[in-house]
Amino acid sequence: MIRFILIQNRAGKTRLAKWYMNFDDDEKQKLIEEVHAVVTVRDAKHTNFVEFRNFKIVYRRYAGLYFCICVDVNDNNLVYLEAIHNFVEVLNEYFHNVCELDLVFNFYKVYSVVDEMFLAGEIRETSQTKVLKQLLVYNSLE
Amino acid sequence: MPAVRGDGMRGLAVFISDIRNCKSKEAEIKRINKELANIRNKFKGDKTLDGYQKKKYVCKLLFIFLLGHDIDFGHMEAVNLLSSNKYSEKQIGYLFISVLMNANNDLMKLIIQSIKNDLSSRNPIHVNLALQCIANIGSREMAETFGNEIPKLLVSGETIDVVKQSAALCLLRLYRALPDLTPSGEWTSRIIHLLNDQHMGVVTAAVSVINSLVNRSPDEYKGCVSLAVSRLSRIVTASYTDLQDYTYYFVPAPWLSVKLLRLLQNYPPPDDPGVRGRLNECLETILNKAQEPPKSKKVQHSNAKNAILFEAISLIIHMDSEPNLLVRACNQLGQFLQHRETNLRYLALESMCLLATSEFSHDAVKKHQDTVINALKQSAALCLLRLYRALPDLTPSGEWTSRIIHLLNDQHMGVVTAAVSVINSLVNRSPDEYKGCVSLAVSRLSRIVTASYTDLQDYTYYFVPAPWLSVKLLRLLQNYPPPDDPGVRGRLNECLETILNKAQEPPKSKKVQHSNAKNAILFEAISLIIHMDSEPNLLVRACNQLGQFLQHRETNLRYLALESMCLLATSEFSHDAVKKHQDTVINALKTERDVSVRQRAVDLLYAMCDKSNSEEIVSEMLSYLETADYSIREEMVLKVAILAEKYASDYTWYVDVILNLIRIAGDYVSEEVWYRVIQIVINREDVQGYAAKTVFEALQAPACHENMVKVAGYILGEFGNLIAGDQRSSPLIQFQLLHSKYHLCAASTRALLLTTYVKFINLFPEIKADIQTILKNHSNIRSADAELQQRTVEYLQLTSIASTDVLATVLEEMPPFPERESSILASLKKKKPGMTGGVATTGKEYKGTMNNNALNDIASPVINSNASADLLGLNSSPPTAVPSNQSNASLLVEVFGDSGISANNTSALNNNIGSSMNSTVAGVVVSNEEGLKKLVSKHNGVLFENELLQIGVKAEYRQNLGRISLFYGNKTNSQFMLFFPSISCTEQLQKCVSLQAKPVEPIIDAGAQVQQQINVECVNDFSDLPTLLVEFSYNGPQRFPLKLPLTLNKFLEQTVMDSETFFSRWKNLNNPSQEAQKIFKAKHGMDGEVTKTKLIGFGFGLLENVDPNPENFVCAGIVHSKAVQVGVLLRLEPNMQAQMYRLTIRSSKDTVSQRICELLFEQF
Repeated sequence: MIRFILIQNRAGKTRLAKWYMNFDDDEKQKLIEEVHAVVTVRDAKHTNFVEFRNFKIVYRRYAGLYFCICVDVNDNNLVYLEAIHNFVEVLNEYFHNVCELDLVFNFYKVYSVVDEMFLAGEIRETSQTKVLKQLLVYNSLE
Repeated sequence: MPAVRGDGMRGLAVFISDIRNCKSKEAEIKRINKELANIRNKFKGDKTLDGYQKKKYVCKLLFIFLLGHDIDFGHMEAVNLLSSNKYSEKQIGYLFISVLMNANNDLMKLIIQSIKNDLSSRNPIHVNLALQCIANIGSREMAETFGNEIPKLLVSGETIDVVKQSAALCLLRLYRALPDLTPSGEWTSRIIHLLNDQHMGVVTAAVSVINSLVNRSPDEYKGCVSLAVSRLSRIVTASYTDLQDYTYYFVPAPWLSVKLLRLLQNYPPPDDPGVRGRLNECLETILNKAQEPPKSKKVQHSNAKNAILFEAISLIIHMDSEPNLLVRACNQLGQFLQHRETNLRYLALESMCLLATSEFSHDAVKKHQDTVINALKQSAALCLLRLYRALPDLTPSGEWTSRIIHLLNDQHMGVVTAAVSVINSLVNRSPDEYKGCVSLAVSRLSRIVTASYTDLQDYTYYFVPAPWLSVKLLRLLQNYPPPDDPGVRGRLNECLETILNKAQEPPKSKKVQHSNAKNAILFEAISLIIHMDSEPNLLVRACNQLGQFLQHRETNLRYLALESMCLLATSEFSHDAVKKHQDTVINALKTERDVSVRQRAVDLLYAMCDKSNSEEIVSEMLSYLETADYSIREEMVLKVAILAEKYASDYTWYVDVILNLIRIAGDYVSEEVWYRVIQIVINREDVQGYAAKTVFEALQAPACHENMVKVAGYILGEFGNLIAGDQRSSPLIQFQLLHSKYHLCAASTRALLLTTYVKFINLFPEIKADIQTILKNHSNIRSADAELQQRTVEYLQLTSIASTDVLATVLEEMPPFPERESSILASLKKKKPGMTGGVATTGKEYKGTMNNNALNDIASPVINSNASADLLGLNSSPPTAVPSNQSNASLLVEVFGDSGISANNTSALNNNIGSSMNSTVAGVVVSNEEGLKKLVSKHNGVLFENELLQIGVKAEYRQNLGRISLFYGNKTNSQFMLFFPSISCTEQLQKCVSLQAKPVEPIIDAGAQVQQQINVECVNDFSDLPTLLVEFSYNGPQRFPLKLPLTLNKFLEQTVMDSETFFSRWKNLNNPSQEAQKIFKAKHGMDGEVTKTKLIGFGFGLLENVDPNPENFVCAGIVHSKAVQVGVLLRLEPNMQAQMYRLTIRSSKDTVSQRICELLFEQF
């Protein structure tokens, strides 16, 4: 299962943190720092998977943003790697060429995108069309 | 879709912009406090806020919280938002609650009530928000409240798809929160049937919850298998146009497929043959698809496809029942191992690990056990090996370690044989991690050794049980010191004894195969005994065994025995035992027909030589030299020269030996050898007269080697006066004798002789006229050779014009050679350009350089660079500076430089921890020195460990920056108080390295670990290590002064270049100060692979196929510092026979060369 999802920029600023385990606040902050330290030093030629504590981080970099999903060591790596990309494509469609600032100003909307696609640490919906349709409904609602 | 940007809450957008525009942290805090005060006012105010305003303020609070600030109000307002009918207000309310509230909040009752209301709402969007909130918080209380409601929602026919998806995963979260919560039996079949749902999204969500239910009660949910298989089959056979929305880059429903394949891994292969057949078809289809050409070049396409493929392979391994699928899976992984994409190689490696370590037990597989599965495991293990060799940075993750080690216990001997190889390679990289293999290897070995040849059946080779495996195991053990555990050690010793005993037994077969196999084990066992070097009786027995072989009728055995004995001779325990065989070895030297055997005999004689037998051995070698094969002459000459010098108690003997060498094998006497004899004669007054007499006699032989002329010329020029009293060697006779050789010699020798002549003028004024006549000779004064002509002219002028006093001073006897030349020489060379005047002749500095070259410099201001073949070559280019020197030459140098190397050795850190600790700390496990040494070529590891404390290091470096994480672990059962680690640098080091350490908690709980992060920047190159002082209180104050493993090479990054570039750069860095060199004895085994790993770990890029000698290692790298980047080149030349290395580092900066050389030399 997914333990947490983090979106961070190169400088280490967190743009989204979604926790699927009960960590206390100090622990969360620690995890954020450690993940940043682990991921940002890696070369483009390295794998997209890093072992981290007792888990594994599947990550992908888009421009200045690192999208990281922390999963169990025996989980399917590639499936989560592509789950990241699927998520990014949805964001891109939703925000029309998404950029970091979109995630800052509309942080509360990003959370609802996450909840549409991932829930309880599992993949909930993978169809981009369906997710976007649902988000469109929310937008029209006020 | 309309653009989302810009709509929504304006006040929020303004606030976010303000925060982003804040220039400093202080400004940001100020702005936030202002906003907080404002919101607090609004919330407290009498005026009731409308929904939009509440939403906006709650959202601002949320944003402030997400920036990392505490929020202590607004919760009530957020809860109020839940009862709003507007989606956007409800959503913000729920978001605030899921992000900020913990399960124990006072408002939880209210929240649960609101959720209840929303769950029963008719508006599916509200239901959905409520479900998502439950899934996000997932507390026990919620589980208890909603645990029985949600299944109803999930299976109800009226629930819309989107809500069903959320309900499924919401349920999953509640089951995780409350493990004893189970849905009542009535729902089981309906939940399972969600797998048949029309809506793929519902299926995707449902599989996850079913998976978790299956884990709890597999039997109850068994029905899901056939449904999952049929669903999977429909997806797998679908074309990518069939599934529309759920097709991702031409791959139909990848996420769902993976989830289904995972679900199936909870069960054994289906019993029902229909279902099973269908599943096998699916798996085959997936494997087939991997071979089809890709439908898109996008990485998303291949990732999605391969995600399914890897999951299918996991299932195949899990099912453990389909040999042909297993074989196909293995082949597929084999293909990936060579894929250009790192991700795929990494994943293939992981799956291979799984494959290689799985226990296959199913009947269907067992039938094929021998033919298929074990072959599979074997090739998987060897595939891994190959891969680890190709990619040194690729290592299996820690979780595999113990499973890989336990392959040594595998039933199947073939698997063990393959596994030992891969383990051996892994051990080389991380010996500590794989330490567990020692005891397993010993017990495996013991079982084989004690087995009779009938026990192992297939693996018995000509009555010898498992010879190859035995040898591999014995080799594996040579990576480690003798086992600490007395039990294991005893068992190992028994094994070795048994092997030695077996050698004495009558052979079970007369076939050569039998004896070869048996002896292969025997020789490997002897190697291990020598490696352990701790059991005197085994060593002596080994030596006796080899002694028997020395006289064996089979050449192979005699050869191998000589080789092993060479190693035995180096052990103090068996040195004497080896010496007993001296006569046999000498005999071998004389009578062996095969030159390679004779060569080994020479090696062995060299190795067994000591003070007591040196004269005999040297004389035997000398007499053999007269008839020796040309191919081994040069090496023998060097060996004789070294032995003669090393063990000379009487230097006349030494002079005799060397002159004999020149007489017998003059062509093979390299310059280093005759330079050295001259150095020794000059430094030892007692031998000078004898040397002069001997060379004079040697010159009288009708055919005299040119090297002899050189030595004679030099020695007579210095000490001819000592024998001039004898009428038979009067000055004139000496001169005439020398000059009779003059015309037969090459220009370089003539140049040397000219110098001898001018020295004669000083020594024997009576023959001045004769000599000047020669100098005036047409062929000298107008010589075509510039060097000769110049010397002639200069000497002639000097002897005609200068007074006898000046002449005597200039042509003074050579001063003794300094003991440690190289460094003095380097500075000497720098000074030389300024020393062109003749006045400084009495100066101290000048005296030091008094040699023929200096003479040249005085006579003319032109500095003569053409000095290559002159004796002064001794000074201007010390023998070791010639890069193309054969490795043999280094032997000689080692003898010369002995003192220098050991002096450098002491540069190792001497912060002795043991002494600074109190008595409670007895069993230090890892000393700081050990840790530091290991951490030079590794970034991660244990820096220090004792009974109380363990300090681990993890570090990452990039160019001139680094981040070191120190992990302090409390190993005791009580707290460490006042824990305070501090890092300090010497003043010198502060200028070169900047360190920033974050503070750590002052208390470490029992058994806990704290982390400290240190950021490092390299400003300039450095050689000291920062000090890490760890202080805390535990049964009184504790204090550990340690060193931090921050060495210069951490900022070394590899570079790649071709052979041409490398050598041109190498040649450009030819200033002696740019080079650092060490020649030293190997401290560990000389395995090429290990060396490579160490060099790469050290930071160098290994350049393959650059050096003409494939044994040598050539590397390049760049040291990054803020001030400057320094390119560093390396050559490492191993000499296997002598077990020595020559390490040469060149860089544009002398301190860098020195430091890198020092650091690296410690590693081999």
